[in-house]
Amino acid sequence: MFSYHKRLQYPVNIKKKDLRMAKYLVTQYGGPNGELGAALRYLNQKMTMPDNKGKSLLNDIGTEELGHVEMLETMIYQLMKDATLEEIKEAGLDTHYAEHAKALFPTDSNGVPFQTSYFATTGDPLADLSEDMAAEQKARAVYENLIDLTNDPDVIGPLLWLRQREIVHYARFKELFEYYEKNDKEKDTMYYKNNNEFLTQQLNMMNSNYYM
Amino acid sequence: MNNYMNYDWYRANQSMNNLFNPKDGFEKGNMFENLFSQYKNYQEEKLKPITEQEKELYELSAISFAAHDLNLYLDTHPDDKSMFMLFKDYTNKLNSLVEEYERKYGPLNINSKEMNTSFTWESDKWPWEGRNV
Repeated sequence: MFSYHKRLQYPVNIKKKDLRMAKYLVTQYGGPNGELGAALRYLNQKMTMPDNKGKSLLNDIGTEELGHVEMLETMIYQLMKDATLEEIKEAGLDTHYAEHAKALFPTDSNGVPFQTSYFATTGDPLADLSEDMAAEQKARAVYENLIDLTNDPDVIGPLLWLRQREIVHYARFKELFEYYEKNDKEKDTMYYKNNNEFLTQQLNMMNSNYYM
Repeated sequence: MNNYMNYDWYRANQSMNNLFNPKDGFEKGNMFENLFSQYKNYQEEKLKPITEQEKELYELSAISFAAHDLNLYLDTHPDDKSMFMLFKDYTNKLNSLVEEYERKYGPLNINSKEMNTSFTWESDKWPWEGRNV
């Protein structure tokens, strides 16, 4: 289960409203490489990691990502909260306002709503960890694009910090990937042998049913 | 208020491994020197607390961050004894900092010891509201 700590993982204190920036940032909340997708992907994948190293790493990084979701929400909220209706229209956020007023809604920068396909889970630990490594790299790249789009130090600070977390998470996923890959090579022979036995059994059963 | 972390207890650990101290690691978002990667010529934000409460919040956030980043390392390196000892140091320090903070400013956690006479969970502002200054 989860319990809440009444503080942000890293402080966010944005003084200047900036609706364009809010519109760009929302993709790291609800876009394909965003924190919501990352949190739910890892907390989903942790169930089927093959050992305790994988279960704990996916659990602990997934939990941290929930803290990043809150940071992103905070940034978007603080960038938007003092905006007038005129400013909202000017920034092209009137379409957001129509349905959500100043509430947050997880979309990408173009307004495409959050999608469960971002979970991208196969149940194969090597495939899932490759996905996770790619996700961290993509999120790092998006944070760099976002940093390029602003000159407000109150926004750049948390973005640099979140970018750095992607780098650390990537390194940890890579360690786990390499560890499983090494173990897999050792286990491969056994796995295929068992799998073949299983398939032969299935085929025999099918055949016997067929002729009955 | 600028120099918000100057404990001796972490200086002792600075030479260990290739770690930043908790204050620097927290500001960078990374405790591990070998993993740190700078973007262009951007420098991490130097956090400048403006009240005593904020200073103490940053201190405990830094220790909490340090413990968490070591936690992720230990997930994949559970047999690294010296890293585990440092992790224990950080979590012990964190627990005492949280208790001290809650005694002065109110609960950070719903099961705080400090909330024994009235429900003060909702009395202070929420973290996303930022500074009211």
